[in-house]
Amino acid sequence: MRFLSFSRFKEEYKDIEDENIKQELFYLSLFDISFQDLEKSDIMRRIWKDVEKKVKERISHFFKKGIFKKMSVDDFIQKNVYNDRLCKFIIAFELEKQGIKCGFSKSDDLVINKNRNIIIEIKRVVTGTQLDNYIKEIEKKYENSEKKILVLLLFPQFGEENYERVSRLTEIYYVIESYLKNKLKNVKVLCQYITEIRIEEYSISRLIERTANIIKSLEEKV
Amino acid sequence: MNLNKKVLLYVIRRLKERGTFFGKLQVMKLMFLIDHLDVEGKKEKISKESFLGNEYIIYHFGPFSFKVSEEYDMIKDEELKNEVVLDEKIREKVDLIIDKFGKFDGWTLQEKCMEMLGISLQEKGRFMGLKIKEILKN
Repeated sequence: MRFLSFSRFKEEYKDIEDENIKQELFYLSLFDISFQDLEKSDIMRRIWKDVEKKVKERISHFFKKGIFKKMSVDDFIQKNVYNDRLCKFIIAFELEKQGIKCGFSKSDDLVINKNRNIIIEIKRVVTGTQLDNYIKEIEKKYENSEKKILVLLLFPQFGEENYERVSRLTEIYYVIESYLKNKLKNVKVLCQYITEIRIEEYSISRLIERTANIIKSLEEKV
Repeated sequence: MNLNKKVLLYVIRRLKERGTFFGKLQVMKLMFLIDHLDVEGKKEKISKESFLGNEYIIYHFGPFSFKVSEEYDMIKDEELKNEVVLDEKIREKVDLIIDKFGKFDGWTLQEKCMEMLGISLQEKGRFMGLKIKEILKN
């Protein structure tokens, strides 16, 4: 097995009902190991090591054992977690539960199936440098696109940070949205802070609720 | 000291001497080029074979090696004070890569590596999580 398919993921995920477990799995799906290459301080790198350890220790608990018969836990993480596959699948599954049919483009972008003209661009953000690069990348990627782009900037809680304070700092969508609106035709930006342990305001369910509302407004927009 | 660490120390020292050391992202991409850029032929291309034996996976910030990452994180400041001697064949390639790409920061190098791999920004998502060997096979 190279990558987990969406249908196989659904089979695994549909039985998870506990919101706390969903939160933990979603939180663990928000890290791309290559982000640590941007870190200059030892403290930040140490936190990355802790994240790596946590992902490795916890991820297999969320899936049925059969999935690891064909591939090791390490391979599974490298192919499905550190890229944004798992994170995208969870969001797609939860949106479908809200009646929003999702699919994936040839380049693996999450698209809303109704008329396939809404793309959800998911970016997992830990540092400011990343955010800067992401924005430039989005600008380039969609510069001549007629599609409606919903940019989800997801900020996972990192280390021992004070979530109330940091979550406020991450609500900078209006700045990014204004900037991107000058560059792209149809764009909306949503910033969501995600905690490791479920807190309603910073949860996957809150993210889905906000995302679904924006998708509905984008669908209505001509 | 293993070869990987020797090369890493050599690369960091040389970048610092040139005044173009930008950090781990840059060094990771330079290590990727040392490992996979075929400089023997007329045209530079990414080769399946790894010169130092490291394995890379594509993530958001381009080629990433768990082994190189771990070795980089273990480097202590005092280790950078001593001169590192590399075998001639290895030194030649490392010098060539540094001379050509050492002036770029990590983000620019990331874009260059993806370009060399033939992966456009639009296609990137499809390749994330794949090993270099798997990409070059297709």
